[in-house]
Amino acid sequence: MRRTHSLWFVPLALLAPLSASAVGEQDGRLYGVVTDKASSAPLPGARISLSGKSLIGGPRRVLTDEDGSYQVVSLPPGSYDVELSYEGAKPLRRRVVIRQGESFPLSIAWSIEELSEATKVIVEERKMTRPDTTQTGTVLSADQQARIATSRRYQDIVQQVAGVSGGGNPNIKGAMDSHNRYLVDGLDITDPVTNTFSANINFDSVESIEVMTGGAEAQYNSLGGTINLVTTAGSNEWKVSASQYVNHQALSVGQQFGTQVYQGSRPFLRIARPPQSGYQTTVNVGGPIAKNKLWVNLSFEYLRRESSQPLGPTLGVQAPSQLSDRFLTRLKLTYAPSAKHRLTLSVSADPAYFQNINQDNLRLGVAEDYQRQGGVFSIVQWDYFHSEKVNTNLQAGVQYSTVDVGPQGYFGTVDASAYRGMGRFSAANESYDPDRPQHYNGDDGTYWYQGGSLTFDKRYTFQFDPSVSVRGKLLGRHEAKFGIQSRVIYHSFDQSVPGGTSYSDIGGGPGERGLCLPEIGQTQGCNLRTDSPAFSNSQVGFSVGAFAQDRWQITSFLRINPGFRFDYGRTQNSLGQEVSSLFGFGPRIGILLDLTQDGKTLFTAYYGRSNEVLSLLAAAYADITPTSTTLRWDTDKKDFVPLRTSGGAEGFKLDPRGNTPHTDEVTLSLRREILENSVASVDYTYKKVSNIWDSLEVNQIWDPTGTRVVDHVDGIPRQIFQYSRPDENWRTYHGIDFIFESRPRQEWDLAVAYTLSFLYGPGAEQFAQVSGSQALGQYYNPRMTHFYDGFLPEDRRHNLKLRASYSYKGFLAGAFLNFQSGAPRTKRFFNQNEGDYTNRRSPSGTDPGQNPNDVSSIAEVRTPSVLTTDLRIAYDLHSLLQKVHLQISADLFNVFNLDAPTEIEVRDVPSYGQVRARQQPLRLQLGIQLSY
Amino acid sequence: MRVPSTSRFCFGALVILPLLTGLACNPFERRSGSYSAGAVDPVRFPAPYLGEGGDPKRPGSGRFQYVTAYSRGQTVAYYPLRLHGEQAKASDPLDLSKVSLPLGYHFDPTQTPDGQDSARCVAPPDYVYDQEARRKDALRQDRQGNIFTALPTESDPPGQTTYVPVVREVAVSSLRNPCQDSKSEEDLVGRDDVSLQRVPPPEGSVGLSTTGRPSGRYLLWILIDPAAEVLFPGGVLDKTTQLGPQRFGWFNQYLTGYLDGGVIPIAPLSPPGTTQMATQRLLYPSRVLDTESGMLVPGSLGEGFDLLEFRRGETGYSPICRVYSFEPHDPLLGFEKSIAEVDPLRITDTGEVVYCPQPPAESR
Repeated sequence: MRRTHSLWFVPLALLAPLSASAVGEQDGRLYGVVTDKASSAPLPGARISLSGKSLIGGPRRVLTDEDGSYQVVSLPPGSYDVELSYEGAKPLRRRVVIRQGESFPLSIAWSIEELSEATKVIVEERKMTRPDTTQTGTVLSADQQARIATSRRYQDIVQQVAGVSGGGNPNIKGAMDSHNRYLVDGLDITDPVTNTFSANINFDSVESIEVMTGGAEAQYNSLGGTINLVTTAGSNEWKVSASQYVNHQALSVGQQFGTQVYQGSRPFLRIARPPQSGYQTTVNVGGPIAKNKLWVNLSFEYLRRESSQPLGPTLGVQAPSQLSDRFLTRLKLTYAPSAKHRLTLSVSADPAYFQNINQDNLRLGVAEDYQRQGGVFSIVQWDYFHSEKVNTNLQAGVQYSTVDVGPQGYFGTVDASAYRGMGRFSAANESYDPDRPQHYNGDDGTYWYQGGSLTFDKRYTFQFDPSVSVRGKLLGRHEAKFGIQSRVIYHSFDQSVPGGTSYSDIGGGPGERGLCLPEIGQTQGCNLRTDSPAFSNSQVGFSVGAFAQDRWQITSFLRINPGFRFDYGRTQNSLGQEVSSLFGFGPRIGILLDLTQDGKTLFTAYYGRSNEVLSLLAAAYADITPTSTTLRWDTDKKDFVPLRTSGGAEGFKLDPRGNTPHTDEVTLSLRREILENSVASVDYTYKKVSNIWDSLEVNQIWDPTGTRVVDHVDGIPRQIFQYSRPDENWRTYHGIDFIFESRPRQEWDLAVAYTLSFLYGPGAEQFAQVSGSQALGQYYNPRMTHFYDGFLPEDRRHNLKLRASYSYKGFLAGAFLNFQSGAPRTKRFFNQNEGDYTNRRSPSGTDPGQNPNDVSSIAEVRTPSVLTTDLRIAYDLHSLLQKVHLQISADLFNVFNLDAPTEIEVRDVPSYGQVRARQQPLRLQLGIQLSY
Repeated sequence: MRVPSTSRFCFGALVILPLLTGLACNPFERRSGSYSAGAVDPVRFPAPYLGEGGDPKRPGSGRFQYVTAYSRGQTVAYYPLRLHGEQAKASDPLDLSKVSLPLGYHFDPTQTPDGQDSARCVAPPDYVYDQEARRKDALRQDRQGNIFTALPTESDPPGQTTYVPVVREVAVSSLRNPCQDSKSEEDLVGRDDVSLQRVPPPEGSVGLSTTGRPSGRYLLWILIDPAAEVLFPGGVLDKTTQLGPQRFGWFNQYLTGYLDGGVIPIAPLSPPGTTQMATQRLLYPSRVLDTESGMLVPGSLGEGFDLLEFRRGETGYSPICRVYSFEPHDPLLGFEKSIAEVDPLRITDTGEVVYCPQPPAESR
């Protein structure tokens, strides 16, 4: 047996140029103690051997230490056969399931009796108490997801996890949707600008997803959660699979409900069902190029989707369908030249094209927009298993992605078929004119003649992450990890406004007749015009972080997991100005008590701080733009006169003061294995996100009511935004999760989670003032700022999730149920200066009630609760076809066809409180999956 | 398996403590006390209090345009507001004894220049009223706005409102009250950092609370849409505030705007049992020159040729005017600029009474 390393190795390891670690944990770990059952004495020198289909390079073997302990690290997720042998004795075998990012405790008390059962293979064991970490969340495996109906997008299935709400970019335990980190095979694919997910992945290429909602160790640095994907690798057997999923409006119930919250379907409404279909085709091939040496997995997915807004108000013209085409390709090569080395190369591409993206019944086809997006990303990893005590990991990755948006007519063909020749609209709506400006009619919220701005937006990322893991003994047992994480990001942006200007009309009445068209003498609706020259800019940033994290087992029942990280990030705009230069120190401390000293009952307490030192979002806004001029219609002069300017070299300010945006989190957790392969837990989380980036308008002086701009600080009628991280910009989350997760038998899978949470504070949306949604910006109008402290729009008081599935002889039934109580909404009032409903008269999450000037009348406003239930029924014809698995599936979404409103009108207009969107109606998706 | 007692304790603590914490997670509770609830919503205001062109659903859409008049040869500004609702229909619209007048809490009326907010409150340390303060603060933080106890409310159907823009003054003396901290009657009467005479509710009464004791003076404080544009004659604004002659105060924690007409004198010879507002005379020429056509056309109030008897601050000033028309001597040559210049025989009593507040002298 080798001599144990002590911690003197650590500083050397940090200095080693090729010491490496993943940003996200992609593998699992097996550990335990082998003792003699009769005497409880440790058994040193016992041989532990692991083999599994996921493990390249052949079985891994270790010997138990002098205290009988052992551990096997860097095990790709999957099922493993563990063989315990001792010289002169028959081996003992167990089968375990290793999950991504988790440790499996397998301690064995050996006895002669067990030796007599040496060749018996025990059923698969799953340990889900995570006895060595404070991290909360769970792992979603491809195997689990194949048992229930899902949208087949990794972004959506994250919603199955306790503490997760929101949409495709989820809110994880109260953080913003821009506070998460997304990792694919270790590559951070978080968008450098928006801090949301930046890439789509072929769903069939995903092996497992670790959704970390809290308690993160020092190798993670996320203000919200971490969504950590591991894609499928090849194996020693060739496998080919293909699938086809079909959605069509004929398989769906129409959405024909009334506009009042309490109104159901309209039985006498006779309108044609608009097109709604989706076709998803995937092909996957994986296997050995050289057995145990070189594996390959290739995956391709094509998704064609057509969706339409049902005919209805405001325009009453069938909106053109949104058509989207996605091409998702992924290649993964795994190479193990020897037992000490493992090299992995992953490459992904995800180009996608979307036509008519708005889908809101507020515009004709000529005013629709188009979007093309996607890119390519790749990462190479080198794992080096130096010894049982030391292993290293080196990762280097690159990503390119683009999002180009603009008028449909610019990129593609305008669909005017629904209204051409009707006579209801002018001829200008029937053909695209690239120089014709867009008009917005504030009286009915409609858009005319032109899509929005034409933007070309490109992002580049380079990442380099080395780390080292060291195991040793010093006043207990340590498993330490040290690493450096570095990232360079670049963003370029080009924008032009069709026609160079846009109109915001109001007061002329609804529809095209209410527009401001002085050229034909139609001026009743004239209000604001904004002239915006074309421009380009680019920003660059980099960050470097260093972390150290230890898992220190002091006694058999007590662990302390101390860690810390330092991060520094800097961003720069086109002018060469330093937009941010941020440093963050992130201490982490976790205490774990094994209450029953058998790894089955864990109590953990955790405190940690994460810092956001690198985001190009602020730099992208705090950059040079041309001076846009907003003009107001002068009824006396019958012409537009200058009102204010925005942008230009003096259109923004940088505020070097302010703390680094950060999250402080306290987590308490009690976990208990209550049944075989089952765990119940209660997690309490307190999280405060502080010093959130924002843009503060600092030049306009409003009247005391915040309705009219009466003056300007510098005397010049213009807006100036200061980019800052105010102490007053924060959000606080309290949540308690009750979770039960079980896989008692291979046929069963069950997960239940209930979350009670409170989310409040003024930090609703970053940069709302400059992103075009002034209604949500607390720093646009100082007279409104104090109203922005209340329950946040993502606050869901109650959330119940149930995932259950059962399979028997080829038959499979699975269900997912999600209940969410309503989301807070805030009534918005007319602002004379903006000509729009941007003012508030009560705090976030409320309206003023029936008596408008009585605080006791202020009432909370929430959308109704939403319950969705999705069901999968499938049958595998394997018993008939032998070597081939042919599964036919039927997925029912919203089985009970519930129609709860998901969005309501919040403006102070006659339709206040009416439904603007409801949950998707019942639909059926048919699928066929073939694998060989 | 039986759960160990330690586990049960932890479980219980984990469940109960966060729940208790959660119950305390109400962000609205931080708003207890005298916080600003924002600006008054004029959605139920009668039309005259929204300003010309005002829309109750779109605050700030109305305009109050002060007009020029002459008083003994000097120009003065005033805003002509016709009586409205039940007061306009009353047999004696000047009698205040028949209407229920709200209280108006007036800070330091004897130690503060007429028409200004009291500066005797405690301002934040190092407070300077500069451009940045104007940007950040809705109201000056070194002044205390006066407090109202009722808002104009339109009747259903419209036109029968009982609201009268007159308040009974309650004098409040500042002691050490932080500026703009008090924003409602309820808060004010409970404070010990101000001094005022209080009237406790009658014993055994339900739903009534302590109020201030009226000083006996009546003030013309016309509550208006606080977002409305208020302009000096000619559309001029104050050079510092870029606002007009309106003032701002508080109602029930909401920010209000009002036109301050000052103290209303009470007629010394009011009939028994009445409290009649004393008026001053307001004259307008019955014929004016239409500059576009060069023709003489009928005149009306507020066209810039009105004559007022007294200026604000003068003995005899009243913000309530009895309206007369007069036959100008020769409109083609010019207009009289003093009532004394008008031939008394050419004056006709229209019988109309209007509110005619003049802005305080300092803001003119």
